[in-house]
Amino acid sequence: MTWADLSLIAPELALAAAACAALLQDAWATGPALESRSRGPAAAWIALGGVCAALLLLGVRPAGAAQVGFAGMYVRDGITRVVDLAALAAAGLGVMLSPPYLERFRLPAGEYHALLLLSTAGAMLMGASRNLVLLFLGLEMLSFPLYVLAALARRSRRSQEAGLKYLLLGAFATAFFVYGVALVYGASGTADLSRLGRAPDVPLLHAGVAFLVIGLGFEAALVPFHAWAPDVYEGAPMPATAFMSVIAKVGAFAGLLRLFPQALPQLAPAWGQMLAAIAVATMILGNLAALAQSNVKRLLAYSGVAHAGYILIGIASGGPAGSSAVLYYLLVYVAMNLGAFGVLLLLERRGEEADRVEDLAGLLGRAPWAAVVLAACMVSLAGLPPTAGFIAKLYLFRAALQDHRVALALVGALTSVVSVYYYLRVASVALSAGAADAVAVRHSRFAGVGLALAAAGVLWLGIVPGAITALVQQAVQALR
Amino acid sequence: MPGILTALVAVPLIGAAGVALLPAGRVRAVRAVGLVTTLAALALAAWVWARFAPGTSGLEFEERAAWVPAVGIAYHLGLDGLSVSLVALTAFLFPLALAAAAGQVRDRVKAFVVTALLLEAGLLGTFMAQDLVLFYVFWEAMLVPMYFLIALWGGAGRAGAAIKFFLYTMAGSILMLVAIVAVYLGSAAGGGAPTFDLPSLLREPLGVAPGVQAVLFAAFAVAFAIKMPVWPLHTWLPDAYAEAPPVVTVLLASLMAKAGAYGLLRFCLPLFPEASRAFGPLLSALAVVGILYGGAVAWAQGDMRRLLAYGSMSHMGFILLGIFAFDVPAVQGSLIQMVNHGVSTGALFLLAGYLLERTGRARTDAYGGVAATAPALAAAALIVVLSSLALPGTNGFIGEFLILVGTFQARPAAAVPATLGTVAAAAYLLAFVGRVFHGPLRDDLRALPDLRAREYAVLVPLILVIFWVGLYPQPLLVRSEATVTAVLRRVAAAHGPAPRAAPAVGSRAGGGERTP
Amino acid sequence: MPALTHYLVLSALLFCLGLFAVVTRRNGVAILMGIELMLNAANVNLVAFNKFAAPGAMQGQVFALIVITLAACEAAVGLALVLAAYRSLETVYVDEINVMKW
Repeated sequence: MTWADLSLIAPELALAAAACAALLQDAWATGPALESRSRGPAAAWIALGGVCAALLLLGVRPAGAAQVGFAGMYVRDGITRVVDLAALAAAGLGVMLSPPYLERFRLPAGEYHALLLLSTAGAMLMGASRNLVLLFLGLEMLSFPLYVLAALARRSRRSQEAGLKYLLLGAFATAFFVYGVALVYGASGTADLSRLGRAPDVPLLHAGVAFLVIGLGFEAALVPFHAWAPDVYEGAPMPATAFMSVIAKVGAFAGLLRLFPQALPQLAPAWGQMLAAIAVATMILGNLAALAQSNVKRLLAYSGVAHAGYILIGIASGGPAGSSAVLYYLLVYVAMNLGAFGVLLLLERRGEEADRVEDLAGLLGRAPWAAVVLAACMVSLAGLPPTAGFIAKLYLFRAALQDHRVALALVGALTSVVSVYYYLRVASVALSAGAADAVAVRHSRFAGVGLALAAAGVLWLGIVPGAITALVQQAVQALR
Repeated sequence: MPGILTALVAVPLIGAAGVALLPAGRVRAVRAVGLVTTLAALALAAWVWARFAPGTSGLEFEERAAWVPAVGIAYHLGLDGLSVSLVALTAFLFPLALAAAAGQVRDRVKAFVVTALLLEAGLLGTFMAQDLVLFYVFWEAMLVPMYFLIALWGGAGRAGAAIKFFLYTMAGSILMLVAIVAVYLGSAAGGGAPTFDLPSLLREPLGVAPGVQAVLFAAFAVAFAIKMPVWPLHTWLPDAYAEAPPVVTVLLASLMAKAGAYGLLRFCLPLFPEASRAFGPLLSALAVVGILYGGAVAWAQGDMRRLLAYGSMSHMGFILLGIFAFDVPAVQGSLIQMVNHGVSTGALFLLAGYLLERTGRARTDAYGGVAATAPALAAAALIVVLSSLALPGTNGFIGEFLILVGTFQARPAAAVPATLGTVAAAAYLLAFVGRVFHGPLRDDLRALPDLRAREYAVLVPLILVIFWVGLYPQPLLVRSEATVTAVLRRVAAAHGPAPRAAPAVGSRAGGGERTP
Repeated sequence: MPALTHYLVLSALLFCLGLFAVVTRRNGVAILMGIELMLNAANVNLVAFNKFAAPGAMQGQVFALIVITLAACEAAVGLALVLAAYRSLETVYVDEINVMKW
C-alpha cells in the first residue's frame, strides 16, 4: 500500500472519515445517556460535508486512462467514475431528504448518517473492483450497514422484522457469492477480473458464475431472488428504504457490469440468454405485482424489482451500448426514485408514516411543488418523455435491438405500459382535489433543496442528456 | 440561434412557467396569462403560416442543433406542406379552448391552465419535429398532460376513461418506439452512422428486409391508428370523449386525432413506401368500416357527446381513406379535411359543452325546442352541423369532395360505400339538431340563456373559418400541394420486389419538385 | 494424500449441510450458524484450490482469511440484530416473525 494507492481511494476515505466524525459527534452530543440524543442537523451537515468532499476528490482527478492500485485489485476508470457519481448522488440526496423524518420519528441521526456513508463507500468499492475479493468486500460493506439501517427504528416491530429478514436472506445470498468466488477461482486459477477473460470454458466456471449471479441478483432484487424486497422496503424506516432502494442497485449492477460485459465477454452466448430470461421474469413479475399494491412503499419495492429487470436488459445485451445504458439508467434511477421517496418523507399520518396511496390525496393543494415533483418522478419511473426515465429506456432498447434481442425490447416495452397504470395512479391521486385531513405535510428547507435537486436531475437527464451520455459512453470505451 | 419554431414551442412553456409562479388564488390573472400566451403563440403561428412559401416540397424555417450527438439524436424542427396548416390550426384552437374553459373549469384553474399550455407545446412540437426521437418526445409529452386533463377535471367516470385512453395510446406508441430504434439501427446498414433524423433517413432506402419493413410499418401505423382512432382500435374513444371536460374533448377530437393522421403521412408513407402500398387496401377497407360503423353507432347514441364522438370517428375515416388512396387530390383533401374536422368537430363539441354547462344534461332526449329560447345557439349549431355534412359553400364540402374524387379514381370499390357515410352523417347530425333544438320547447328549458358575449367570441372565429375554407380553400391547397406530390411520388417509385434497387426519387430534403 | 476431489466433496457436503440448516431451521441463530457453515465450505474450497489449481500464489489463502474476518463481522451484526429483534418481537423463531405478509 503506497500513497498512490491511498490517493486512489480518496473519495471512499473521505466518506469513511465523515462516518467516523458523525459517530463521534453523536457520542459527544449524547454523553452518558443510553439513548442517542443527537437529532439536530449536525450529523447531516457532517455527512453532507463528507459527500461533497468525496465529489470534489472525484472531480479533481483527471478523467484520463484507467489507474490501477492495491496490487491490481482496485481500478479507477470511467465506470468507477460514473458509479461513484451515482452512489454519491444517492448518499447526498439520502442525507438531504431525511432530516425531517429522523427528527419526527426520533431516530439516531449519527448512526443513520454513519451507516449511510459506509454503505455508499461499499457500493463505490464494488464499482472499482478489479478482483473478485474486492467485489466481495464491497458487497459486504454495502449490505451490512443496510441490514442495520433497516432495523434502525428500535421500537418498531416492523423495522426489527425487516432488519432480521434482510440480514438472514442477505447473508444467505452472500454465502452463495463466496462459494461462487471459490469455484471461479478454482476454474481459472485467479480471482483477478482482468484475467478471467482467458479462463478455460469449463463447467466449474459456469457453476461459479451461477453462484455469483445469485449473490448479486439478491442485492439487485432480481426474480427469483427478490422475495425480501417488499417486506424489507415496507418495514424499514422510510429514509432507509429510500436509500437502500437505490444504493443496493447501484452496487449490484456495478458488480454485474464488472463481471459480465467486462470480465467474461466470452460467456456472452451462454449467459446472455440466461440473463435475458431473468430480466424478462423480473420485468413481468415486478410490474404485475406492483399493480396490486396499495402501500406506496411496497409499490415502490415492486417497481424497484421491475426496474432491476429493465437494467438487466443492458447487462444481458452487453457491449458498449448495453453497459453505457446500464450506467445511464443507474444515474437516472437514483434521481427519480429518491425524488419519489423524498416527497413521501415529508408526510406524516398521525404519528405514523403516510405510506398509503390515498394519503397522497390533495397534496397539490397543500404542497404544490412537492406534488409536482412526485408527479414528475412517477412520469419518469414510467419511462415517459420529457423525463430522464424515457431517455434511459431508449438507450436500453437500443442496446437490446443492437444485440438482436427483440424479445427483450418488446417485453421491456409492454411491461412499461403496465407500469404506467400504477405510476399514474399515484401521480393523479397526488394531483387530485381530495384532502386527506389526517396527513400533515412537514416543510423543511433542507429536504426542499434535496427534492429540487432530484427533480432537476430527472428533468436535466431527460431534456439535456448530451453531456451525461457522452460521459457514460466514454466510460465504456475500453469494452470495445 | 433559436428560430421562430423554437419560439413557437417555447412560448407555451414560458407561459406555463409564468402561470405556475402566480399565486393559485388569483384566478383572473391565471386565466389572462394563459390566454395571452396562447394568443402570442397564435400570432407566431399566423406569421409562420403567412410567410410559408408554397411550391417547395422541402422543409422551411428549418432549425437544427445537436441534442445527443453521441447517439445521433438531433433537435430538428421544420415545417412543410403537411404540417404548416396543422400548426396554425393548433395555435388557433388553443385560445378559443382556454376562453371556453373559463366558464367550465372553476376548480384548480391554475393547474388546468398550466397543463393545457404544456399540451399545446407538446402538440406544436409534434407537428414540427423532424427527428424521430424528438417527435416521440413531443408525442408522449402531449399524452401526459392530456391524461391529467381527463383524470383530474373529467366527469364521474374520469379515472377509468383516462387510464383506458392512456394505456391504449401508450401501448401503441411504445411499440412505435421500439420500431423507431429498429429504423435507427437499420439506417446504419450501409455502413454509416445510425441516425434518427427523418430527412437523412429518407435519403436512402432503409436497410431492412421487406418482411421487417412490414412489421415496422405496422408498429408505426398502429400507434397512429389508435390515436385517430381507426376501427377496431377506437374503443377508448367514447369513454374519453364523454368523460373529459367539454373543452378538453374539443382538444382531443380536433387536435390529438389529427396528430395520428399526420403521423401516417409524415412517417409511415415516406419511411415505408412498399409496406404502405401493400397495406393500402387493408387500411382503406378499415377506413370504410370506420366511416359506416361510426355513422351507424352515432345514430343510435342517446348521449350527446358519445354521438359526436362516434361521428368524429366516422369523419376521421374519410381522412384515412384519402391518405391511402395515394392520389394527390385525395391526400390534399385529407389535409384540408384535418383542418375542417378540427374546426367543425371542435365547434360541435364546444356547443355540446355550452349546453352541458347550462343544463348539466348529457342526453339529447333531455332537450327539445332549444331554438325557441336560444336562437343564436341554435343557428350556430346549424351552421356547424351543415359544415360537418359537407354542404357546398362550407369547408367540409371541399375536403370530402376532394377525398371522394381522388378515391374514386384510385379505389372505386372503397369510394362507393364511403359515400354512404355522408348520408349517415346527415342522418345522425340532423337528428341531433332536431332532437335538441327543434320540436316543442320543454318547460324546464324556458330559462335557458342564449349565447353570451364570451361565447360569441369563441364561436364567431370558428364559423368564419368554416366559410373561408369553404369559399376560398386556395391558400390551404397551395401550401400542401408540393409536399403531397413529393410524398406520393416517393410511394409510387417504390414498387417492385427489390426495394434497395429503387432509387429514392423526390427525396423531400432535396427539393423533389425539380427532379423530372 | 487427499486429492483435490476430496476437498471439493467435503466442501460441497459442508455447503449442503449449511443450506439444509438455513432452509429447515426456524431459530434465527441457527440459521446464522448454517450460513457460517456455507461460508466455511467456501473457505475449504479456496484453500484447496490455492494448493492444487494455483500453487505458488497466495491469493486463495488470503481470500479465505478475508472471508473469515467478514464472517465474524457478519456474526456480530447478525447476533446484534437477532438480539434487538428479540427485545421487541420477543422471539427468535422466524416463522413467528410475521407482522407483514412474508
